[in-house]
Amino acid sequence: MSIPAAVPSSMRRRSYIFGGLSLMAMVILGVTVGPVRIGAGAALREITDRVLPLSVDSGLSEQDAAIIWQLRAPRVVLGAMVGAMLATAGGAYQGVFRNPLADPYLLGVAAGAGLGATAALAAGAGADTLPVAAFAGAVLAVGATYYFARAAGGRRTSATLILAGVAVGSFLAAVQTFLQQQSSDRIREVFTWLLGRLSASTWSQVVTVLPYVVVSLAVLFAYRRVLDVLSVGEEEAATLGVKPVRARLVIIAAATLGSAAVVSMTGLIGFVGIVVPHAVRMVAGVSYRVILPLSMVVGAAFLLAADLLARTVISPGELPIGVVTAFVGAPFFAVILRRREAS
Amino acid sequence: MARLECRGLRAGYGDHEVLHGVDLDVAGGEWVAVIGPNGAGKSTLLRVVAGTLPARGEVRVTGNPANGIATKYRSRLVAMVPQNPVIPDGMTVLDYVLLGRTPYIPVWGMESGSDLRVAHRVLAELDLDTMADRVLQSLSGGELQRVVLARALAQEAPVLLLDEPTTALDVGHQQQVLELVDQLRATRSITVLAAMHDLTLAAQYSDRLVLLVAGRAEAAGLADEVLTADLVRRHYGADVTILRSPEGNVVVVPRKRTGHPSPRSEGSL
Repeated sequence: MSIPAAVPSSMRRRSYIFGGLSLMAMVILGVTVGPVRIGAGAALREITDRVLPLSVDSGLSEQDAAIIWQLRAPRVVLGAMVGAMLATAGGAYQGVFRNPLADPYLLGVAAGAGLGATAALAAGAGADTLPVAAFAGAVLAVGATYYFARAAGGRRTSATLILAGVAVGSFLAAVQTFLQQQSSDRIREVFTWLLGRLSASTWSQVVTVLPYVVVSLAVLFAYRRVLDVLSVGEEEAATLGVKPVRARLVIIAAATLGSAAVVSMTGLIGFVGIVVPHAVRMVAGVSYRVILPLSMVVGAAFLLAADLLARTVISPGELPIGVVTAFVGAPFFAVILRRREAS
Repeated sequence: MARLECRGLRAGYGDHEVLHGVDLDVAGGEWVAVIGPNGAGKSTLLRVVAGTLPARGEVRVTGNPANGIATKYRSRLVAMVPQNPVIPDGMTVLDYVLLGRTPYIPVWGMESGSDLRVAHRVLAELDLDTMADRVLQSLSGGELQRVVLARALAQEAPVLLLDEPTTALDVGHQQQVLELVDQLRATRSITVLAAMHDLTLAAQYSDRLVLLVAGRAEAAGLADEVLTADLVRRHYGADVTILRSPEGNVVVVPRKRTGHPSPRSEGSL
């Protein structure tokens, strides 16, 4: 059996620096790369002029400035928020379930959001009601999972909760498939949504999602030490002064609400919640005090990188971002499985 | 020194009651061993005292209620070394021992300098200071048991519960761990309640024994009072000889029953 080595604090520091620099690089690339090329220097001057209390002349035309502010900046900000949220929620789920393969969709967020969106489209609702329907579906699905787990008497064991999540997820997926069959004329729209996209990002989406993401990330960040305590199991955690059932509920609620909010805006973007926390864990160690904050930064950078690929690979067309994250995520996932088997 | 009192403890799992009204007293600084056959409720009793299993009845530490109070305050009074502790993958010894400081840290907070000092002091006391940065998985069974004990001691609780603390250890490490607890009891005035399987070790290290049978305290007292061949036969279904070591300790030795041919004598050819 291979024994994991303790990670020295210098390594953790370097991981933060690397994550921060990657994120900055991705933000700059995100606003400069596209069908209309805008120089990095000009883009930086433009951002400095607008964001910081400094007056700098960027030399950009009004049209280029609009491309930055109306098209690319909201996309970059939304992408960073979605990446940070999914990665952090994934890390928190893995901690609270002590299951390395848990992701933010484990308890039915994805199935619920998918069914909500499909039902809205099937009922002929407009695109603007999609996020509301998806969010409602996600929250209801996780509520149902919790309810069934409790009814089964499994309030105290996370295994029951995961099994209830599987049952609810399968059921909702079946209903969703049925609805898709019934309204095959709108099936394309459903698929577009299911595969995830950042292409139509607007500032109003950013503003809508922001409070959920901020509150959710703040709660998860605050609970990062509690996640370490929960790693000794619920009974021992209780002897150490933590209320495991309540702590788990708070963490799941925060991770679920945040994930549901971003999923309802951008569709189902898979694998971020698994790939990023595991990559962070491999480099920076097993403590959630490091995994959660670092996952926020690396998750944001990872999703912006995936979005860059999504919009450049078949330019001027775009790949769905969920396809890109799955394309990178699935092989990585296989590597993790191999490593787990090896130890 | 903290006195532990249990009155009329009833507890179980679902509809199945395991403890049927147990009374138990441990004087401040005393070591009481709970003995009894498998399924008698030893672990259940410790769970109730640790507060991880809801129960009817009272648990008091120096007169103050210790059950039904906030988890955080209870874990400042009672610390537990579980029988099969969960060892988190890849965690370092220091991080693990620091988990013992949780009762003093707000939910959203982090360890302070004083928490770190306590952890380092405990590690030094248990001769673990050179292992602070080692990963738990790299430790031997004996080292691991000391680390789990260190985490419990970092709680700085006056009452220490041990659930079968030596089951997985060889005779040398058994002695080492029990000697350690005995020393700590003296230097830190800790009150110890331990569920113990090995009757001889229980007799040797504890001040008093409580015999738990089918959820009731059947007998309590000094080792020579509780550990009689008759009582052991009745409750464990075992034939034993009770001896005295040269130091005067009670020694319980299982006796091979006659009339059962040994497999070797009836075996091949």
